[in-house]
Formats: sequence, structure tokens, C-alpha cells
Amino acid sequence: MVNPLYLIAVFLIGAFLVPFVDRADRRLSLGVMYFSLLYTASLSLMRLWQLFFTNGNETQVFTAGFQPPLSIALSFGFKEALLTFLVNLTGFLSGVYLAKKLGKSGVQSISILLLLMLGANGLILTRDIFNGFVFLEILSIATYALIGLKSKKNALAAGFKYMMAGGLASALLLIGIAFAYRYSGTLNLDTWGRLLIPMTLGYKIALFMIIMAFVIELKPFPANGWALDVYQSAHSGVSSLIASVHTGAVLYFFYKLLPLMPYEFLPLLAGTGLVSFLLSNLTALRQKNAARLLGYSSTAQTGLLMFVLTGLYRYNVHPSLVLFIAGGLFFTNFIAKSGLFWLAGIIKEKTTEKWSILRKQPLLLVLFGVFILALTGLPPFPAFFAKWEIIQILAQQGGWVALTAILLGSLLEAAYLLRWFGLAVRQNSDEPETASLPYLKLIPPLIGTILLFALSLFMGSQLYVLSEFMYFPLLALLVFSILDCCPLKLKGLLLVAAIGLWGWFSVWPRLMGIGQLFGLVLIGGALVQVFGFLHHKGREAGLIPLLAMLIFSLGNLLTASTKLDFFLTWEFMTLSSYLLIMRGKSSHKAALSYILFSLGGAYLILTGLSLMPPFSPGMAFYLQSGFHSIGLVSTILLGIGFLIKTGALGVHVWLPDAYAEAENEFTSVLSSVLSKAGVFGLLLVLVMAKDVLAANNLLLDALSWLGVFTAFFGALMAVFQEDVKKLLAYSSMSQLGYIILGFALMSHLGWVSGLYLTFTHLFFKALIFMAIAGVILRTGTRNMYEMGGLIKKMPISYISVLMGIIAVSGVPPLSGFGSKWFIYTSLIEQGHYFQAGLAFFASAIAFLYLYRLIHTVFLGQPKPSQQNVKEAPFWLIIPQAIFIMVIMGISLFPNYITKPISSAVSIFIEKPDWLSWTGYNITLNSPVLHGNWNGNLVMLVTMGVFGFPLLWLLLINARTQKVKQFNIVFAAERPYKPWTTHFAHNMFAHYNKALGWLITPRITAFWNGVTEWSHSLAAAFSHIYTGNGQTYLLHIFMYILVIFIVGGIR
Amino acid sequence: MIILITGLLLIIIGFWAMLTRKNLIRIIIGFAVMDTGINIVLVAIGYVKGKTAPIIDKAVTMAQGAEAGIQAVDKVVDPVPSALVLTAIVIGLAVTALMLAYAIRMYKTGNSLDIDDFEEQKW
Amino acid sequence: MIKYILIFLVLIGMAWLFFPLVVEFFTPDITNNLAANYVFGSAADLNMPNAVTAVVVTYRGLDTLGEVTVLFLATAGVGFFLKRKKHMEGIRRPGSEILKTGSEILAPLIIIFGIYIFTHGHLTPGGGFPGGVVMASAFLLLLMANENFGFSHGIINLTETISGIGYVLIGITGLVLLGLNHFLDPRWLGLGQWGRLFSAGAVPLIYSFIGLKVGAEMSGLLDSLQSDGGEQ
Repeated sequence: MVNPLYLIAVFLIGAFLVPFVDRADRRLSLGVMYFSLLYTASLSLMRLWQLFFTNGNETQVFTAGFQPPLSIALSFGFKEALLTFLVNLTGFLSGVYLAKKLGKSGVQSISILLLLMLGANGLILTRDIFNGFVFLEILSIATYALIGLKSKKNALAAGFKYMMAGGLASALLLIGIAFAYRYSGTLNLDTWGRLLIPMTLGYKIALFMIIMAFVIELKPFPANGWALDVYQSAHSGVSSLIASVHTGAVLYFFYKLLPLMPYEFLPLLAGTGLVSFLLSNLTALRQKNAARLLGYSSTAQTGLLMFVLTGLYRYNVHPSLVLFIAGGLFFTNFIAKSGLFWLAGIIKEKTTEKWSILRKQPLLLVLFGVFILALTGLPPFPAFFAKWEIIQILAQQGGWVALTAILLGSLLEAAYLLRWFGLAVRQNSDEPETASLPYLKLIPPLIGTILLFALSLFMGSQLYVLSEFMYFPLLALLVFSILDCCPLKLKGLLLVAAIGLWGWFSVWPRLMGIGQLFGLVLIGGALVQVFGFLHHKGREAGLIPLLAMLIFSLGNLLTASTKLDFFLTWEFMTLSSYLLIMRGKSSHKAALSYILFSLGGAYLILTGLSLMPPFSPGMAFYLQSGFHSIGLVSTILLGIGFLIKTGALGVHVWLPDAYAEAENEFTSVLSSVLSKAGVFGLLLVLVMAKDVLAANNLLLDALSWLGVFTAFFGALMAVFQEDVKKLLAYSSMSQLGYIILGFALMSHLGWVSGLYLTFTHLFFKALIFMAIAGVILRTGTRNMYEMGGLIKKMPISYISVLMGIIAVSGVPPLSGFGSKWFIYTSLIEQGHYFQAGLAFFASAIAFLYLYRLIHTVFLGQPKPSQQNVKEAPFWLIIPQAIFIMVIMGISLFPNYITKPISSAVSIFIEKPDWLSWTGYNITLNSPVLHGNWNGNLVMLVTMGVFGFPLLWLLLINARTQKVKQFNIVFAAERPYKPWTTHFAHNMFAHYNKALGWLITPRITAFWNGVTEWSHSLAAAFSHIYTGNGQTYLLHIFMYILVIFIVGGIR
Repeated sequence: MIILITGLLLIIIGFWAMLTRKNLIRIIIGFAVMDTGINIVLVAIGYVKGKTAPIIDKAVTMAQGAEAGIQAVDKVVDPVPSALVLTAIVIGLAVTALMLAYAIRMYKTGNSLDIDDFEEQKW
Repeated sequence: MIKYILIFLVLIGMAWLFFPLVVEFFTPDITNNLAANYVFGSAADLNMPNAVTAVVVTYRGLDTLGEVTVLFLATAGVGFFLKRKKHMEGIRRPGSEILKTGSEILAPLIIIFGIYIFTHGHLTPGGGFPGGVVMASAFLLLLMANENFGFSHGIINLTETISGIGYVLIGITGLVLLGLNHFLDPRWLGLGQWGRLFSAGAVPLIYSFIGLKVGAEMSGLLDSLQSDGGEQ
């Protein structure tokens, strides 16, 4: 067995040797340092190897040849080996990062760094409480000294505050140890743990002081002002060491002490951890300084870890699971936090606002993104799995307070981290040229990223049975990232081929019924639109890999089998779509609101899933859902979660901006494909919630009214938009309202109508969006009043939009008519007359905005500035052509769609006898309603009715004289704001007067209020950090006493 | 008992100084006082009624080796706190020295020894 | 004002927290099991009269190694903070004649006394730490007496390095000669005769290293503090 004492000996010899060899050469002392760090890391690795491949159960080593408790024992098991390995590796990376600084500073700094590592290693290894105290002091003193590496006033002041706080903590620890020794008569943790000591008040207080000393060292909110100052002002390399190595070692010793503590302490500690997690994250919301922000995040994560270690025992969780959770959170935080501190040091910009210079450094940007996303708890990083398990435990066993706090805290954390990410990615014209990168400093974060991925793979593969295709999105991301230097068109075609092959040979055979329908929508719909992206001239770095990831995760949504599979895929989808939205020119705010709503939804889904019984692997999730029945809470949570994705009224706030600001082609995917994932989810919820819904009419009524109002208000808001993409965004929302409405009926016909609309909405919305993408590309504006008369310049786009709006509006003969027909018949069949009325009214409103769309953009007079506009690029036409053909096909032969939909639905809701297909005719003979619809016939008739006048017009049109636009002479007057006189500007002003009050943005105002309120709360909290060392000391005292009193220890 | 109370009292006096004195040097003195208090507490904890120091000299027993050990066991006080206090003293000294060094450097960069002059970072 | 009330309350609170500790405190009549084992083992296993030394150097030797490290760390830290200026102005007042003469006579004696203390740590009260500090006090004396007195940093560093590494190596020797669980076990050297200087295995050796190291470190610490404090 590898003797852990060698770790200690190596550091000591190294530290003692350094001042001496430094007389010869500074490089020699740096060499000693790197050697010591690498050697110890490899010793730990060797130990890991040993533990895995040889069965050595012996983990304890004694000193001085005596058994404990006489001597000090060290333990070198799996946990210690893994931890010391990471700690020493991070130490090495920090050494590399700090190389220049250490080289310039006094030689002592090298010794001090080595001793810091010694302290951390010793603290992790030792099994003796007093020995732990000694190593803690070594660690702390070394940290104090290293903070002085930056001899700015602020750093020194922060260091002094830290010393005051640390000194107090050590004092408490020492007093505690002294008294505890009186009661226990031993200092060895193992011996101590076996003793049965009467829990008198004195003994408890001694233990309380011991544990509080470590709690203080773990920097809990609010007794952590000193730590934040240190994080903010110390050298970033040192901050990273504090956040990772120092915190990690202290936390591990804290964990070792827990078995000694009386049970009543544990909830108390768990509570402090939760409070720290939630409030640190809240307070961080307002923080603008990058390093301080990281400090807040670090304290928050430590709080969460404290909760995991002390709070989960109540739920009869197996200790190894607790360790797994803690490990997942810890390692993610460990690596990501040190990585972010390193990046902060490389960027050298203090405020998060200034981080946009990252955009010019693709490598840094990717690293930054990885660290941020890992911290946010998105897959595939270990924190994701850890959070998954925590929520499973808490939801199943009713730990609602903790669950709410954790999810809320996580959301807040995501808010500020991703806002920061957004600021870094955003395009900023006046950013300064960056100096050349310090390549040496880049190595540590780079290795950190690799380590993070390795750990993710390890955790994901070792502990879960994930289907192999769950790795596809990541694999696709990887492969296409490697290919990313190829020309765009090649990459795109490769992607199309890859998806095509995968979809046809791998996914399709596994799908049936509803799965096949959604397979067509999600994979097929996305596949066709990939062509649209290919018109770009540049290489479009990052586009194709992310698109690949998105489409593969969409496919996985259908084949996923277990709950984890499903949720993992869901998160992959959210993640990739978020990053794709970020590609928009000024989309960072919209993307933030998108991801926050998505994450909020995902947390609800996560909680809802946790309440469900386990799904067995192998069979697709959506098929299994037919056999399961979920409870009320689960239904509501899952329902809201999926409704967020569809953009239902109330949670639609993210939708218009995200649609408007994403890249034009991606908006099309968002609207036509991605929202359908939400629909898919909603459908599954309804399937599983049958029992609940049957018992509780209110839910379905609420859902159907929600659908109606979404349709109505979506349409109404679309009417008054100037921005063509926003108009279409609201239109999408409105259409999804109809889909929700259809599903809410819980009848066969209702579902058929919902699914049919899901289908057709894909085609016509993608068609319009793709055509509009071409228009925006050519005209360079999104405001409709700045366009006009484009029919001559862009005839194909015109035809696309025309077809599209005919389909949307639901007039015969195109497919939209069928969907409307289904909706109204099913509504009336169920007796929902009010809903039907309002839905009908919404359709009427739809005419208004559709008219506006086609008229202002394509008809009317062309703008002089748009004289030279050309037709949309060929690549954008491809998807349009395909979709037009599909729409025509469906309209002519609706049975090919409606029949499979009906049979797919009949698995869940039996087809009533009164619904039948005869030839192309759908016949309804329900007790309350009779009707039939022959799509084929309608189409043929309409085409005939339309075709003859068209021919006639063409015929006589040949004889007309064409008037050019500028044949008309203007009066000499030029209005102040010429565009306001354009008829397309504020087009439906009169309607606005009548109905505008309906769309005052109350819901947006509500969400803005939530944001503002939490920000001012954050401000209020942050004011406890006065910057005064003595005040911080007072906080610590008060914190300890308050916990003592609240805990009611007696 | 009296020693113990003295120690705890010193600790609280140290707390008081650290919380109220504005001068960095005085804060450090407060810290040192607190440290001393802790050391006194440690010593008090090791005391056993009427026993002598845990060094087996002629005053304890004339025997040697293992025999001496057996005879000395109930004649001396607990050696553990004595060992701990040694460590505690050294650590206290180290921290105090470092704090003083900090104070000197802070005086040089900030030109003040008043802790209230070092609160630029906040919130 | 609120702050002062809070401070007052906090101090009261801490006293209140300590109160049960005092109430439950009693001076026992017999030592606990562990202490008894230490006292017995010190004599029986290590052939060492000073049980405290047995605990400090052998049983809990890792603590002591850490302790030496802490001291080294403090020296390094202070030295790091207060870098010695190259050109020291003669600001300091020269020592008086008495101090100068006295120091010349006393310093060697003090050093010898220090050496005595740390070499006899296993027999009598004292040991490496007091011995080292006594030695450093001799340097303090010299430092105060002669305004131009300066240490050769080379010698201090060398002493620190050799004694520090020597200490660790003795620990490892135990590991190598006696086995896995014998880090810092002094018994690879003969235990010798009860009460003699060369007894108790490697303990005198260890304490000598500790003494030297502590002496060197304390001297270095004093030097760093004075060389910087003098400059205004």
C-alpha cells in the first residue's frame, strides 16, 4: 500500500529544500515545487489504482509504531485517494498558473504554496482531531500568507479580515477540542466514534464549538464577508486555491467529524447549509465584480454541500449515495470554480460587463462556457446527476422545504452565471483589441475542462445504466466540433446525412404510434430546416455542432426510456437550444430569459418526475407512460413545466424576445420544432394523469381555458407588432394555444385535432419563417413598415408566405382548414361552446395579422432603398419548397395523416364509433354533432375555383400598362418622421384603441416585478457586508449564538 | 477551577479587544490575549488533583523502565494537554507573527493602522 | 451605538456559552486511560522518563512535525511580507556598552544552554522548542547590542533546510527500517539506558533537529521583523 505519509514527507522536504536551492536558481525551486506536486498526485493515483485492482481493505496507517489512540492514524482509502489526487493536481495546475508570479515574488511564496498543499493533504488524511487542527492551521496560515501575494491595499485588508475570522475559528476549535477531550479521553476519531459518551450540555457545547469552527471556515452566509473580500481581491490563482483546495479539505474534515456529533446538530447544520445556498445565490444577483460573484457562488455551493452531507441522513439514504451526490457537486464546483477564477485572472477585467472581450477568444469562450454550464448543473456534468439524485430523494420523501430552497437557489445561481455568460458572448462593437494570450496560464483551465468531462463520463457511465444512444448528442457535438473547420455547406450536408441515416435506421424502427408522429415532426422537421442554415457565407463556427446536438437530443426524447434518460435529453435539448439562441446578434437578454424559464420549467419537470414510480429501461418513455398513473402534484408540476416550453399564456414572457432575437433560421426551428417537444411532454402528462384528471374536472377546464386564452391573446398581441418576427412569434404562441385546447378536451377527436395541428403547424410556420428569414436577410430589417412591395423582387418567398398564411388562417383548401375543422367540431362535440366561440374569435383576429404580414411586406410600394433586393438564397428556398409540397400533399390527402393520428390516439383514448373514414371523407355522427370533411374534394374544388379566375386574370393582365412607382410625383412636403406616415406603421391603430387594453403587458410586468423584487432583496442582503473586519467578526459571533439558540441545544 | 475561569475570562477579554479596538496592533494584542486564555484553559484541563508533572524523575519513583511506568501512572498529571498546549503556543505565535507582518504591510500601503480605514471592499 | 450593544450582547452570549463548561468542570483524581497508557508506555516502550516528550515527539510526533512546519511557515510568511531592504540605514540606536560587553559574554552561554535544553528533552522538562527559543534569544541579544549585526541568511537557510529535512528523513527511516506504521518511530536506534543522554532511540536526535530548526526560524523571524520595523 502506498503510504500516505510519503505525501506529507514529500511536501515537507520540498518546502524545506526550496529556500536552499533557490540560492542557485529560481527555476530550480520551481522545479522542486512542480516535482513535489506531480509526485504526490501520482502517489494518490497509484493508490487509486491499488484500490481498484488489488483488494486491499487496509486503509489506515499509524505513526510511530503504536496503535491509535496512542498514535496518530492516517486513512488512505478511496475517498482520500481521489480527493488528494484532485487536490494535488489542482495544486500543480495552480503552480503552473502562478508560475510567473511565484518566479517574481520571494522564494518564500513557493514554500508557502507547498505547505498549503501539505495542510490540505494532511487535513484530508488524518484521523486525529488535534492533528486535524494542526493541519488546518498550516493550511490557513499558508492561505493568509499567499493572499499577500498581491500587495494591494485591498488584498492586505481582506487578508487581515480573513486572519481575524480564521483566528476566531481556530480559537473555538481549540477550546472545543480541549473540553471534548475532557469528556472523551481520546483525540482519535475512530476510537471516539465508538465511545458512548453521555450527552451532557457541556459536552454538546464542546462539540458545537468544534463543528462551528469548521462551519465558519466553510464561509456560510451571512458570516462570510471576509471570505468574499478575499475572493475579490486576492490573486486569482490564490482565490482558486481557496475555493477549491482549501474548501475541499475543510469540507472533508467537517464530514469526518459528523459521526461524533449528536443527532440534533445535523438538521441544524443542514439548515445553515440551505440558508447559505439560497441567500448567497440571491445576494449574488446584484454583483457586478466577477471575482466577488465567484466568491458568492463558491459559498453557495459549499452551503449546498453542507446540506447534502448533513441533511440527507434523515431520508434513510445510503451513505454511499450521499457521497456520490456530494462528490458530484463537489467535483463540479471544485474544477469549475478554480477554472473560472483562472479565467478571471487571464481576462483581467474586473466587472462582468467587460467580459465581452471573450468573444474574440474562441478557446477561452468555450472554456468559460463549459465551466459556467457545469456550475449551473446542466448535463453532462456531475452536478447534474447529483441534483437529480437530491431531488429524487427529497421529492419522494417529502422534503419540500429543502427541495424548494435548492431549486430556487439553483435557479438564482443559473440567473447570474448565465447572465455573465451572456455578457461574455454578446456582440459589442466597441470592444478593445485583446493582447496576446498568456499561453502558460491557459493550460490549467484547459486541463480542468478535460478533467471535468472525464469525471462526467465516469459518473454517468459507472453509476447509471444509460442507453448507449444517450451519448449521441454529445458525440455529435464532439464530432462536428472537430469538423467545425470545414466549410459550412459540407458540414451541413454531413449533418443532414448523419441525421437521415440515424433517423431512418436507428430511431424510426423503434418508434410506433404517437412516437412516429413526433419522430416526423421533431427529426424530420428539423432535418429539412438544416438546409436553410446553409446559405451563410462564413464558416459559422459552432452552429452545426450545436444544431447536431439539438436534433439528436430531440430524437432521443422519443427513444428515451427511463426517467433519467428523459430528463437528461430534455436538458440537452434546452442547453443546445439556449446556445443556439445565443448566436443571435443581440440575443443575450432574450436567451437569458429563455434559459431561465426553461430551467424553471425543467426543475418543475424534475420534481414531477421524481414523484413518479421508476420506469424500466429498454422501453420508450412515451410507451411506458401509458401504464403509469401519476398523482395530482406531479401532474401540475409536469404540466406547468411542459407548458413553459410551449409558451402558454402566463409563462410566455420568454417567447417573443427569444424568437425575435434568435438567428432567423433558428427562429423557424424554435417555433416549428422545439415547441413541439413541449407539446409532446404535455401529451405524456395527460396520458399519465388520466386518473387525476378524471377525479378533478377543474384541471382540464383550467387547461382548456389556458389554451383558449393563449390562442386569443397570442393572436391579439400579434396584431400590434411592428417586428415581423415578433408577429410570427405571437402567432406561434396562438397556434400552440389551439393545440393545448385540443388536448385539454381529453377526447379522441380533441387529441386528433391537437396532433393534426401539431403537424400542420410545423409545416406552415416553418415555411413562413424560412421565407421571412430570406426577406430579413435581403432587406436587413425586421420592421414591417420598412419593407413593402417585395412581391416583384422575391416572388418565391411571396408564394411561400401566401401559402403559409392561407394554411395558418384556416381557410380552405389548405391543411389549416382541417385543423380548425377538427378543433371546432371537437369543441362543440364536447359542449365547450364558450371556448369554441373565443377560439373562433381568435381565428378572426388571426386574419388581421396575417393580412398585415403579407400586405406590408410583399404588397404596396417598394422602398427606394430596397431597389436592389434579390430573391432569397437557394438554400433557404429548399426547405420552403419541401414544406409547400408537404402542405399540398396533406391538403390533398389528409387521410394519410389523420388516420394514423387517430389510430395512434386510440391507444390512449378509444376511437368513438361515430367517427369514421370512408375514402377521403371523414364522417362524424356523434349524438350531438354531425359533420363530414373531405379534404381532397375541398382542395380540388377550391383549386378549380381559384384556378379559373387566375388564368383569366393572367390573360387580361397582359394588356395592362404597368405604372412604375416613381411615376407619381410627391408633394414638396417631407414629414418629420416619414416612416410614421407609412400605412404599415402602427397599422391597426384603431383596433388598438378598442382592444389595446387587453394586451397591456400585465404578465410581463409581473415577471419584471419578480426580477426587480429579487434584485432589491439581493441589494438589501448585500448591505450586511460593510467591509469592516470587526463587523464581520461580530457577524460570526452572532451567527454562532443564533444557531445555538435556534437549535435549542440543551 | 479558578485557572479555568481565568482562562475563559481572558478569552472573552480577547474577544472584546478584537471586536472593539480600532488599532490593528491592539486587535492583534487582543488575539494574543485570547490565545493565552486558550492555553491556560488547556493546562487547566490536564490537571489532576495533587499530581506532579509527567516526568518520571527521582521525585516520582526510583524505578526505571517499565517498572517506573507502572509506578508513575497514578502519580502524574495528564501529559496530553501539556503536549497540546505546546503545539497551541507555537501556532498562536505563528499566527500572531503573521498578523504583525500584515499590520506592518497594511500600514505601509494604507498609511493607517485603523481598521476602519480598510473597508473599501464591500457588498 | 447599536453595534456596541450587539458587542456587549455577544460577549455575554459567549460567556453564557462557556458557562455550562465551567459548571460541569471538575478536577479529577485520576488520569484517564489514554494518559495512563502514555505515561506507562513512555517508560516501558520508549525508555523515556519525560512522558510529555514521549507524547510530543513520538506518539503524536506528526503534530510536532506540523508544528515545526507552522513555525517555518510563519517565518516564510513574515519574510515574504517584509522583504529585507538591501541598504539598511543606520537608524537604529547603537546598544550601550554594558549591553555590548554583556552580550559577548552571555550569548555563547545562552546558546550552550539552549543546546543543553534540546538535547535533554527526553529526560528533563524542555525540549526542542524551548531550546530553540533560548538559542534565538541569544541572537536577539546580539541583534540588540550591535546595530550592524546581520545574520548570514545562507547559514540560517542551510540550518533550516538541513534540520527540517533531517527531521523528515528520521521519520522516513522509521518507515523504511521498521515498516508501514512506523513513521517517526524512534526505536530504530537503541533505546539505551534509562536516564542517559543517549537513550530513548532517536528522540534526542529529533529534538536536536527541532531545536536547531526552531532556533534558526525564530532568529529569522526576529530578523525579518526588526529589519523592516526599523525603517519608517
